[in-house]
Parts: sequence; C-alpha cells; structure tokens
Amino acid sequence: MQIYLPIAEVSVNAFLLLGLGGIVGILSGMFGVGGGFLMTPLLFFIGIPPAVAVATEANQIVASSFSGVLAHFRRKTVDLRMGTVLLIGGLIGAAIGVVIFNYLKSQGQVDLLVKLCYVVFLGVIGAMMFVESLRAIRQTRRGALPARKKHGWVHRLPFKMRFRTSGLYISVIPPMIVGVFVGILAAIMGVGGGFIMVPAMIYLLGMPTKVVVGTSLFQIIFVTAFTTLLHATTNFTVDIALAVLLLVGGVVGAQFGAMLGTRLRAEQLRILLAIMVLAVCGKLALDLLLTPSELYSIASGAGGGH
Amino acid sequence: MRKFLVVLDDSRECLNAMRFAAMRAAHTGGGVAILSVIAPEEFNHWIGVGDLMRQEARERIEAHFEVFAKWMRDKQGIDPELVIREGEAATEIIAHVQDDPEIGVLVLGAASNKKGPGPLVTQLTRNAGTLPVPITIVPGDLSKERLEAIT
Repeated sequence: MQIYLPIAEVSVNAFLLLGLGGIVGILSGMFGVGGGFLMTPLLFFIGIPPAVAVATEANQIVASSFSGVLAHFRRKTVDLRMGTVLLIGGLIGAAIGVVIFNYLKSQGQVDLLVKLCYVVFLGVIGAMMFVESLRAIRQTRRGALPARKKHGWVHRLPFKMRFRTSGLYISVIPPMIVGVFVGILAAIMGVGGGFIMVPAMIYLLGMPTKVVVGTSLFQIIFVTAFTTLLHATTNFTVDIALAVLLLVGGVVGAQFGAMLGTRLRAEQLRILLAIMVLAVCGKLALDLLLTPSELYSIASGAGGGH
Repeated sequence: MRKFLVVLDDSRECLNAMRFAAMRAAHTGGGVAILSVIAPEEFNHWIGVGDLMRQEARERIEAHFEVFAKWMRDKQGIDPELVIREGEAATEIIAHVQDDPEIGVLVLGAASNKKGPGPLVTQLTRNAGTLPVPITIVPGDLSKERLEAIT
C-alpha cells in the first residue's frame, strides 16, 4: 500500500513504515535506547530526505519519552532543578542548531551535514559500545570501579547552585554546557541525546545514577518538542503522516521489546546492537563516498533548492 | 536456626515488618534475614553506567540495612543477615525462600492507605497457597507498643 507523504514528497509503502517503526520500537524497548539514532538513518535509506527525517524523528521522540518520564515521576527519580538547568541549556542549543540547520539548508548542504554527523556519531558510539561489550564478555567480573565524586574542575566554577535531589552543590555552567550540546544534537540529528547526556551527567556532573535516566528524559521531552516546533515553523519539514505511522509501529514494538528485554539480559545482546549501529554507519559512509548511481539529482522545493 | 525473612525497600510499611520480625525472632529464639531486591536497572547502552547503577543501589541498600541492623543488635539482640538479589521483587523473594531452607516465615508489611496493601502483598498472597513457608502480614499502622504486646 503506497502512500504519499506530503512534506517528504515521496511515496512509500505504509507497511514498510509501520514495520520500521515496529523494529526500532522493539530495539528501543529491549535496549532502552531512544531509538532516534537508528530510526533516522533508516529513514534516509528508504529515501526520505534527511531534513524531513530529522524534524519528524524529533517529533516521535517526544511521544516515546513521555510514558517513560511519567514512570520516573511516580518513582520520584527526576531531579527537576537539574532538569530545568539542562533544559535551559538544551533550548539554547536547539535554537543554535536550528539556525545552523537553516543556514546550511539555504546553501543546499544540509543533507551532507546531517549524514556526516551521523557517520561520525554512529561510528564513535558503535565502536565504543562494541569494545565495551567485548571487554565485558571476556571478563564477566571486573575489579574495583573507578572512584566517584572527586572534586574536579567542575567544583571550582562560579554560579554554584544546590541540587537537593541529586545531593549536589555545583556550578550551573557544566550542566548548562551539556544541555546546549545535547540541544544542538537534537536539532541537527533528530536524536534525544540520552546516550551522551547520561554518561555526561554521571561522570562529569557526578549525579547519582538513580535520578539520571528520569532527569535526562525530562530534558529530552522538552528539547525535542521545542526542536520539532522550530523545524515545523521555520523549515516546514515535519511530516505528520510519517510521524503517525512511525509512532503506531513504535508503540507496539516498544511493548514487545520491553517484554523481551526483561527476559534476556545477556551481554551478547549489546554486541548485537553495537554491530547494528556500526553497520548503519558503514552503509551511510559508503553512500557518501561512492559515486552515486545518478550523478545529478533534481532538488525538490522542500528538500532545499540551490 | 529458624529465620524470619523480611523485605527491605523504600516503603513505609516495611518498617513495621522489620520491627515485628526482630521482636518475634528475639522472643522465640530465631534469626532475621533481610532481603532487598534491586530492580533490573534501566538497560543502558553503556555497560559502565549500568554497573555503576547497580553498585550505587547496593551501597544505598547497605546503608539502609545498617540502620535497622544497629537497632536490632542494640534493642533486640538479633544479628540480622543481609541478602541482596537482582530482578523482579516478587519472583526473587519466592526464589530466595526456596533457596534458603532455614527460612521459616516470610514477613511482609501492609500499607494502610486506600490503594490496597501494596504491590508485594498483592502479588505474594496470590500464590500464597504454593509457597513453602507461611506469610505473616504486619499492618503498617500498628503502634510500637501494640507490636510489643502481641509479639
């Protein structure tokens, strides 16, 4: 069943989109990843213009993070104060990101930027995940973990603020910078950025792990919502039809994934995810480097004309 | 030695269960085992983060346990043992009861609010008929004096 996506200006099979949403939903339910950084490249592969894929995917992340953050609110594992500081940074970052995005779009280079960003990030993250899981499989029980809560440079900065839920008294500058960085990523790549924010919150800010996931979800919802809004009003690249189809598949898939995830807790699964990320990265890189089969293409109006 | 198994979590009602188990064990010459279950951590694509989460959960539980253990040692003369398991709370409780043959009674605290006795009591009473030990349910609202009187 072919349907025409009005904003993306391509016709795709509706079941293909539902299936994609479902698969990514299963993965995100199983691995707990937002799924944005797998979904967006998959959308590139089926011919959705990167500009549309990014803007639409940000939309989907809002929806899929919402139920997650509700559960965390119930368990009181959201540091609202820290979340707000991260959020302010995130909003600034998202605005910067959209400005960059729009500038490059006017130059006709946005597709290249988005794809390059994906190749770099997927490559780095995939490789790190791969090494980490290999190490974990080789030695199931490791020695002492590195010491935490050291007073580093983070504690010498001005504008200190007390974060009661996290039990921290630190400057607002580092969380703000983390927020800005994640906001830029959200705007340019259409990902929530949890995979970068979570380690940054733990290792850089020294937050207790208990509140990290909930707080990052809290920030992600608002930042991606803001990003969607910006993309929708300045670029007109949010495709509702696409978003709805992906969402339906995603919601169903996530339920299955969560069920599977509680049954299997094998380290081997993570290697699978790492390999998948690397494969997607490799395919993207090849597409960028190899001579395209059609040397010239006609740029569409919404996709960014020259 | 016959042991009372009591569950330690963040709920208010586990406090009374803890008291009851300690008093009862002191009066009848038994022991106390305190079980705490770490929920399967949010799967994180970074193994290091997941490990850290588990370690912090363990530290929190140990600190929490020390508070109760000190009270039990000083007031009741009971030296409780701590058991930490990972997984779904109800499943792990049943698994531990089956693994440790010395456990004689499972003590649970029931919440006193309108929403019911709490998830653990609800889940465990459902298969109470097939457990290898009896369950004692301690109302969360019983006063300390009342508890002392009935143990």
